[in-house]
Amino acid sequence: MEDFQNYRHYKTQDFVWDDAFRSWVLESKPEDTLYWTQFMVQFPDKEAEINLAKDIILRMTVDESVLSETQIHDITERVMQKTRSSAPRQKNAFRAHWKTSARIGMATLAFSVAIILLIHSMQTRKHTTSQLAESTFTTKTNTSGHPMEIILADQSKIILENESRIRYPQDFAGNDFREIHLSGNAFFDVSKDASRPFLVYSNGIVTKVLGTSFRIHAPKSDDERSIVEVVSGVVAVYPIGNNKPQEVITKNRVGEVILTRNQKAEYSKTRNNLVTILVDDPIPADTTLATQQFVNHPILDILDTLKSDYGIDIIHDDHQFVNRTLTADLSGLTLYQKLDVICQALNASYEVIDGKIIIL
Amino acid sequence: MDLWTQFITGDRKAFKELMETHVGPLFKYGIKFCREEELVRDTIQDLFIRLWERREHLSTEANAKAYLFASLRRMLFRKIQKQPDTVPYDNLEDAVNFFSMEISVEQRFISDERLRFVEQQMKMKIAALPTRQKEVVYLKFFMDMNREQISNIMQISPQTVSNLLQNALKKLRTDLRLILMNPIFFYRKR
Repeated sequence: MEDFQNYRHYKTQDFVWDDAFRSWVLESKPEDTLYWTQFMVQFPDKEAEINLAKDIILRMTVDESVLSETQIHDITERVMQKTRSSAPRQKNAFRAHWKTSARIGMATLAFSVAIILLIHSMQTRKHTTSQLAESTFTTKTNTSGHPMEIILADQSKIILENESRIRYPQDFAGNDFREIHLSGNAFFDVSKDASRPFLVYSNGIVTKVLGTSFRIHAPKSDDERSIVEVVSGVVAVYPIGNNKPQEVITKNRVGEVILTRNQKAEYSKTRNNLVTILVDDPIPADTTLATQQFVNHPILDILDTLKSDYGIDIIHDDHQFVNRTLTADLSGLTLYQKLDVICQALNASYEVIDGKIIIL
Repeated sequence: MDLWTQFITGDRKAFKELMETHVGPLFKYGIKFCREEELVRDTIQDLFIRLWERREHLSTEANAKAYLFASLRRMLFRKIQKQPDTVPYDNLEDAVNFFSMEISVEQRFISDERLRFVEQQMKMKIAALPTRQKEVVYLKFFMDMNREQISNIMQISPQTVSNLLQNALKKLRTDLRLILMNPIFFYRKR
């Protein structure tokens, strides 16, 4: 799954007709979303092609006449009436034909049945385990006045803030997800386990992750906003609204927001919407530049470095800034202060929209 | 116990649910072979009546969806071929009009002129695929069937399914590539 090599050279037309890609776009299983998000993080130049391919797949339909609900109902009722008292009868023609086809597909039929049974037993298992897990949940409420550290069965670490409550299973074995319920504020450092996504349910949203660290602020009142802040890695956040939580992450993923480092999502329960913004003070990874003191340094180069240091997309018009240089000392400044200095030099301004910085 | 197995044991409720689930998709599929809606509806009705009568002889192991599609296809062919002026399906392998399908990109909500452009072009290209390739593409991508189910429905070997699919996709990818080479795609819109 982690091997991105096959897809590196894919173009829009290849994505549109690729099985794995299509199944992500149409079914969006959590593990696929993680996979493709990580792919885009690693190959940002593919993002435009992927988005176009997604648009095409989602809007692709077959022009066809369909039966209305009433027509389906009519057919069903008529068949029910005509078969009301009829005992099973022999009719050889019907059988003989299916026999031929059965012979052709004998081996293969056995195969598809095996798959169905597997899925079926998985569903049954999921059902029983969630009932079972119900009885082995631990609930911790922190009223100690200071943060409390909790280590889960998978070695994930949670710092639970004061006046906050968390509920988690004592053991994740046998579950398809690692499911945690939070009310209040907490910081998560999640152990990597690709086969078992980590889900945090909190006041109207669900945050999904494979292994990363992030912070959740889940207010007890619906009027306040919930916040998910990413410290490292990639997480996906979904508003639950009136849907069933499991369906939100596996099927419709309406309103899905993907967050990377230094981004946060704010959720308003009353409006059931999520907004991506930047964290208040973005933290750079180790910078790739030797110095923050620039003398006649190309501004495009500095912007590129900021992008990769902070993991934040900075959108600007290359042509406009191509020959512009900067002479300034940016050391010790926050991201926003750096942007102020750059924009002053360019006689431009910047805005933060949708978790991205746009220089105008 | 799944719906199919429940139906075989004589459960009327399961039988009804089986119909409610499959009648819609069966009609969509059937209408690709024959433009007479009434004939397709009648055939689906006959199919389920016989299914109920024959239930004791059906295998619980069978894949319900593939079985129903295969039966409808067979029954429909028999009816169509009784009509004058029809040619057997197998002789039509490379004809383009028998399995009539047009894929389009939904008009609703499209403000993006690029997608409108893709829509117009794709319609033409898909319509031009050979009959059997179109049927495989339809079953796989729009009816969510796997290779084994398609092989059962179309009465061809799994390997033939793969070959048909591969040839169709090769053509569809090339077509889409040519469509996307239009200058309309070279400036990026947000």
